[in-house]
Amino acid sequence: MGVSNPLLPRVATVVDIIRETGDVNTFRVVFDDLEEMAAWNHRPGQVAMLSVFGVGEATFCLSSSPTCRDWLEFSVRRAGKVTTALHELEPGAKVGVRGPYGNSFPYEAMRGKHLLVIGGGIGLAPLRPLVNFMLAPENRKDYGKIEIIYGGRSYNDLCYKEELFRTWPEAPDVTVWTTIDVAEEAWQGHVGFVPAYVEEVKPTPEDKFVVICGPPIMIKFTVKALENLGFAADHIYTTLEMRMKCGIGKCGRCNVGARFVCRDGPVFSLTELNQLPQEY
Amino acid sequence: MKEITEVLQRVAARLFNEGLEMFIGYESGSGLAKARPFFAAAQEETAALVFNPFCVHNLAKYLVRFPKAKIAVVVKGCDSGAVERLVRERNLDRTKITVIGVPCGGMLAREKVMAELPQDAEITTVTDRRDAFVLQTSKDERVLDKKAYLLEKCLTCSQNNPVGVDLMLGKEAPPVGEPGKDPFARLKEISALAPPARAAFWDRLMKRCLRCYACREVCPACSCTECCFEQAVPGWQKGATWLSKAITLSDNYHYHLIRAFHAAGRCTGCGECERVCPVRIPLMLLNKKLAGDVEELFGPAPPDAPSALYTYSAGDKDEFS
Amino acid sequence: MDSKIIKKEKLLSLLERFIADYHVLAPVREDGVLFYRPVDIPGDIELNPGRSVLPPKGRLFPQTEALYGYRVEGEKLTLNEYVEEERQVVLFGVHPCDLRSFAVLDAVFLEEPRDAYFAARRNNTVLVGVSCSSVLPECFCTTYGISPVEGNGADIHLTDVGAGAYLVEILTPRGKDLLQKFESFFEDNVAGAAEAKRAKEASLVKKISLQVKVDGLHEKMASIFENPYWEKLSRRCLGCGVCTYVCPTCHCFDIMDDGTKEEGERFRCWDSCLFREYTLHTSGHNPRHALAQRLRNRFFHKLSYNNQRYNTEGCVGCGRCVALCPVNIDIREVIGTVRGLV
Repeated sequence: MGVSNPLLPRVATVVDIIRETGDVNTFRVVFDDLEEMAAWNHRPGQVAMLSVFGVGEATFCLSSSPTCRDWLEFSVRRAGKVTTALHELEPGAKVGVRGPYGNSFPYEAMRGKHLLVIGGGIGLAPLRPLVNFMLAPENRKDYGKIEIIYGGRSYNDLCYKEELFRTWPEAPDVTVWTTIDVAEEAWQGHVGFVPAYVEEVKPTPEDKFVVICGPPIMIKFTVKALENLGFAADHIYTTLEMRMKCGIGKCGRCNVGARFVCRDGPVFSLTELNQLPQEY
Repeated sequence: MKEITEVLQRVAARLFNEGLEMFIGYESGSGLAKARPFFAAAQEETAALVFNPFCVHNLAKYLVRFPKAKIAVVVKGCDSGAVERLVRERNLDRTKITVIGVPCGGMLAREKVMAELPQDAEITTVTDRRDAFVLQTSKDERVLDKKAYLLEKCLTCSQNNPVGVDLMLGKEAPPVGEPGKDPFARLKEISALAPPARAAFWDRLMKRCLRCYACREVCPACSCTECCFEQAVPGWQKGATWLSKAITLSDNYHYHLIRAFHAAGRCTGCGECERVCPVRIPLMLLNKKLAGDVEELFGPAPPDAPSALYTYSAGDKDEFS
Repeated sequence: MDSKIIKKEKLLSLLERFIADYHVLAPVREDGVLFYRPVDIPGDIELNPGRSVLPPKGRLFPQTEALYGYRVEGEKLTLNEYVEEERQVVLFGVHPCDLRSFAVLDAVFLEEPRDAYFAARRNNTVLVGVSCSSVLPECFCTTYGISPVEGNGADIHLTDVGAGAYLVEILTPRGKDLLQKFESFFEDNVAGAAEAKRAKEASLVKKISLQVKVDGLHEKMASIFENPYWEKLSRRCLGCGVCTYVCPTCHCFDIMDDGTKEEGERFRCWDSCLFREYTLHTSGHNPRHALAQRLRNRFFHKLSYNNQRYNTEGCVGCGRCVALCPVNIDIREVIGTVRGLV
């Protein structure tokens, strides 16, 4: 079967573990076979399967930019069987990786446009590769302004702090708004939920795409806020999470209507979502 | 069986006048000699209710799906114990339930009936003549001797009149079980086998199990909201389950034996597990085995006591001390 | 298309040769229930089988299938891919509805990226079809344009044409190879065999009890997703997996590990969309938390989604789910009701 077996992972090594929050780690992973590493290509928004052998396999979005050629990154919140096992790993541990799977954010259609990124908690993970892809020197000229509105339960729950508070705000034509749910002594920034913050910031819809990811309830109210601000459904994109096992459209369980999230998603426009059954 | 069906419909209609929200009974199924569970949610739907010797299903388990509703359920003799058990184990609020008992003249084995019926026939009426059911079909009349055509479990039945009901429809039914026929006969045969032969007997059957869980889903003794086999194992491998999803002989045994133990002393003998099994594993052999063991170890259960494995007494047999 | 005749005694000795040269899977009766099993003795095989409890899809997509092993030695982790055995498998006695189901499964598993395990098994399987000899009350293959005597999808196809003779139709190059290899077992086709086959077809089709019509069904499905019918139907549903496990076109599976951190294997196994855990997220969120949603999903998969995705019907009319559902949820009735909904 060899190379033609899409269910067979490639062996990779965890080279670094970055602690993002109390329960989120970013795993930096490199294929043992350097040719595999060189051959790997993903697009912003795609997912991959990560294995801890003896425990299982689970789907995660790639949180590193496609422009990063040296490693892959997966930001993982400790929740179930596989994620708990991942959190118990130390640098040097062997894992399996297969993918990338699914569609991506419409980064081609976004050329020449502005981008509004709205994230909550770990929901920034699938959006981060898009931001960093656009900020890469070879791509920056193709895209307009980037606005990022991001929130978490507390300061400690904010991911990617280095980028959030330093790299992104310092980049030209990038504005970052951060918020936390409940006031904290050391926090000088905004306090409140993301949807309310969106209403406050009042982003304008002209020539702009929006990508959102976060808890379902956040997405729901943010979408309402965006529609009030005049954003069109076909310019609002989100990424769906369903249980997946195969990633290649065979195992069946990630269907929403006739669509498989692993093949036809995970990225959907609001227009597409409005046509699908509410079973996600 | 026309009379009983009419009485049933009348009673159901009346109960809706008295504020009933759901009536669980039977309607005719798709196909000959078939009935199926039916849920009437309004008075006008009660006209579909039927009762005939194809009403094999035990409807008791459905009651747990409607914890708040004022509800009525039809039970046969072999089903009524399940309602009682579910109430006793506090899965049901008895005050909300009207239990309607139907004295039972036995249930026909559909396969055997189908083999008898002429092509394209339709059953027009069924009459219970004590020793036989008479099926009037669109083509002719068939007299089906109960000894030959009843379900195996009916031939050893000793509880064909329901107990603990609020309304009994019709008069007490004469016994259907064949006198002298031992319900444990098959179990005794299997138990008498030498261990290797007994293991071979069970291996062959257990290998077949698909783990479709029909036996569990239909079983009124499997009343847990979350089955242990879907529960996560606490500890090092959070999220792992007690049972592998792989179909192996040992996992299949694991599933069936643990399930049988959980139902030990609680199984009310309705035989639904065996009826629904698509690969025909005689699961009642396991349940009977454990029922016998429980009785042997703890004595016959007094009618209102919790099941033997729910209680502890210092006088319980303890083979380890 | 080439055709031959084989006499029953010759068929038995041919099966004996198959058993010597291949692995043979064939319908065998066990406690009155029909299963496809590996066979060693031709006499065990049901030559005119009827409906098996489980479809023969398990040959291509086993209920439990090890995918690969893993082993950790020091710093090194190696994966050991399992490869299908060398010896070809003859899958004997497959009826037309099940033959069609292989095409339905092909659309899923052989779509790019191809499922390597299914593809290897598919490639390694010689399919011997057998026409139906009887029609069971739940059969409705003709709804999907399937004839109980046509072997489309088989390599060779047998039809009992009476007088101890079978009409043998050679339908693929592989079938042709098989015929050449075992030429001495066959006789030249005789006049009347084709007519006998047609007559058989006519008499079988007449026996199909419920003529199920599906025209307009796809369009209708699109508009009745929210209909209260699904909740009503689900009231008697047990939420067990019988319908999905006995279905020849159901293809859902789970992937799991069995072993320690040092050594073990990864396997896949059938799963059912009727099970609550099937779509349950780790967070506790369940996109199809209600049984009504799960049951509806199954019928939409069979009657609409499969067609939308692969342009093939997701049901072949084999009647297994109808016959084996413990509470008589009958897809033929569902189709009829749905077509009548407004």
